[in-house]
Amino acid sequence: MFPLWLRLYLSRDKSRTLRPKSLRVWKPIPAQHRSFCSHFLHYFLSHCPQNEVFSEEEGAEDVMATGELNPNHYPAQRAAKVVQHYLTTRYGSPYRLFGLQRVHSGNAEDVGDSGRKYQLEIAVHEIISNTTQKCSAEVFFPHGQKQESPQVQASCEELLNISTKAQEEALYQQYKMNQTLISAQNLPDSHGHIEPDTKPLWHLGIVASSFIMLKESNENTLYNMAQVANITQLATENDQLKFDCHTLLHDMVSQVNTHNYELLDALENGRKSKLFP
Amino acid sequence: MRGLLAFAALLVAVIAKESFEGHQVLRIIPKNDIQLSLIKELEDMIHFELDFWRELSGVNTPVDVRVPFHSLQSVKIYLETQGIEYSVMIEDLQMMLDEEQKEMMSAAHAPKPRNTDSFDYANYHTISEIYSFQDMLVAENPNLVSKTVIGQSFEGRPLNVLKFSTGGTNRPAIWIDTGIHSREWVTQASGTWFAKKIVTDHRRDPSLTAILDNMDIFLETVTNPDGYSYTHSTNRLWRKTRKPNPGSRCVGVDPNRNWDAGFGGPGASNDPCSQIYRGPRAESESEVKSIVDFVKSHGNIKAFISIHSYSQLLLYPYGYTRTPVRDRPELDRLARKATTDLASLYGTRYTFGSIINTIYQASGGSIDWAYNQGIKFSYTFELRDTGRFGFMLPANQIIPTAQETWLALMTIMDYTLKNPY
Repeated sequence: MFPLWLRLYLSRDKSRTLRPKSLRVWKPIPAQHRSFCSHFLHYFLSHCPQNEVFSEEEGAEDVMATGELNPNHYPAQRAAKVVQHYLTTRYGSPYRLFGLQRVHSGNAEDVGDSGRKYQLEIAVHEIISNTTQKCSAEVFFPHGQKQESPQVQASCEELLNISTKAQEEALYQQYKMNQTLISAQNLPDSHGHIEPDTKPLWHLGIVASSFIMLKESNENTLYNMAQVANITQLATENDQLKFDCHTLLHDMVSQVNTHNYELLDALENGRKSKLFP
Repeated sequence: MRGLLAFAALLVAVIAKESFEGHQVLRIIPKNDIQLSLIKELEDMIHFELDFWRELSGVNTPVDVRVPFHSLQSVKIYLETQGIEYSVMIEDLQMMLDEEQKEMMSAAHAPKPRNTDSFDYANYHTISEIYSFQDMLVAENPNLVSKTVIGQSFEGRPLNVLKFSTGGTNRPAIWIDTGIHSREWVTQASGTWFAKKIVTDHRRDPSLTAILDNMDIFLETVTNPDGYSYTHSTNRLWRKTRKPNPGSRCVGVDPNRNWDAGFGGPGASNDPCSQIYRGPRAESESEVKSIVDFVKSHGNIKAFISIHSYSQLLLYPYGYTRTPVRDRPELDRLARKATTDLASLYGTRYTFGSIINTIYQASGGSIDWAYNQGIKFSYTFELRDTGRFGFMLPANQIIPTAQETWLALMTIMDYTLKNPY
């Protein structure tokens, strides 16, 4: 049974991995639309996301280790981070968030030409209850022409034992019953500060971003969410909550920050509002 | 004639200062297409002088509009009779602006610290506050601290290095830099704390006293001042320098890909728009060249430590090649000890190893260059955290981060002192 709030925008389909029902996601503006960006997005941002290019063509050494991995080195660490994102998409909520505590062991093997499979023993930290769980996970990175999301399987000891249902229900009621629609910017702010009553929104942003970070991950990335630039509740006519999110993701390897726009729930007509005339 | 002039002056005075007294900002939410078109019609009613802050997008998506006082009644009646839902976001815009003004004024007039004891180490500071701090520290400790300007940033800001010395001539020295990547705010903040720590502990802590009896410490806190200033004024996540790149709309060079170590090889980018753009040539950035010149002309630097965030790592060379450094076993042992000592304070776990094995391949990095200059104890720190807050580390973690990092620094400096080469 999913926590209530997750039910609001996710639906389970028959396949193993969850597909968010109406989590529409816009990719960062690709290079060819840069001029669009510089006019439109300029009103949002103090600068346009630069054309982020990690030049693979420089002959980057791509010697990926196979066999037993050093758990502290980057190949195992990057795969383990993917597991963190996966767990957050599956089990995350405003009251349940995961961090990678430690990699105990890792193993990698090529699967023919189709990709590489990692087996990991990791310790996962549930941040809000401050508890640590051991997990066994398998991450498969497909090697195709274009980016394909990794496939993850994970089994953890007692990940859902901490019940967050009551808090989630209370939050849902609070947001639903509010006279004004809640909105917050810059979570955290430049000084790392987050107002206590906007923390659940920050957590929401992390969960939403985790879908994208999971999708965009490969063996040459290490994603974290840098900031929720803006999260705004939108009115709905039904029981669902709807949020408009603009988040900034940071990739440690290319050092790139990508802007991502997520609408948690149904899209009306797919157009973004301009914030300034 | 004079009357006309007076009138004109009055007119100008009135127009110049626009008042938003009584203006309200309404949030309107169209529920269906009919309401959408009704709001569109409202837009066309010029006499209302409406100012749309957030324009029409679609059904159920808010529209924010500033309504001048004289139109308020009419607009509200219009909305109400049409059954269009709205709420008052800002009740009196002028009042809100006045409040904001007051706040800004009081922040600007916030009492400046009169000495380094009243400096707020648990907060992030602007470049001018840090530079003032440096001058105060020197003034308070003239027998221990001096300031050298080793060069200028691209935009002409001084590159300040604090020298901690109890005398001697060209003693073997330790180099520490923070803030080469401007968005890594906990590093400049820690650098400020380290400076104060040194003067506080000198003659109180035996280990530090022993170090300073025989060696000098050089500390550059704001290694990329243009970038740092930019993170305050414009873009909190700016990393590079602020030098424009000819022929490109993108600004800046990654100062930690600009050193002459493996320059041009994999682990950096040739694209000026990249966050890891290496620059047109090695040492093209004055921020880098100034340190190179300083270190070379000093000639007696024995440890070179560059401090970054985030990831909680202690790294030794190389980043540009998988070939291990000759001193790998010793550097590895020392890193193990330093990270153990770091963890002893708050349990913060650090990983250690060579750059290329532990984090990624990176060419043109500072410690690779330093090592190749013969500076054996070359290390890079990546401070807190591991991604939860990342660059936006809460200010209340500055001091704990600085404290634990200092333990590791002391371990390295102590070892350097006791193992001359």
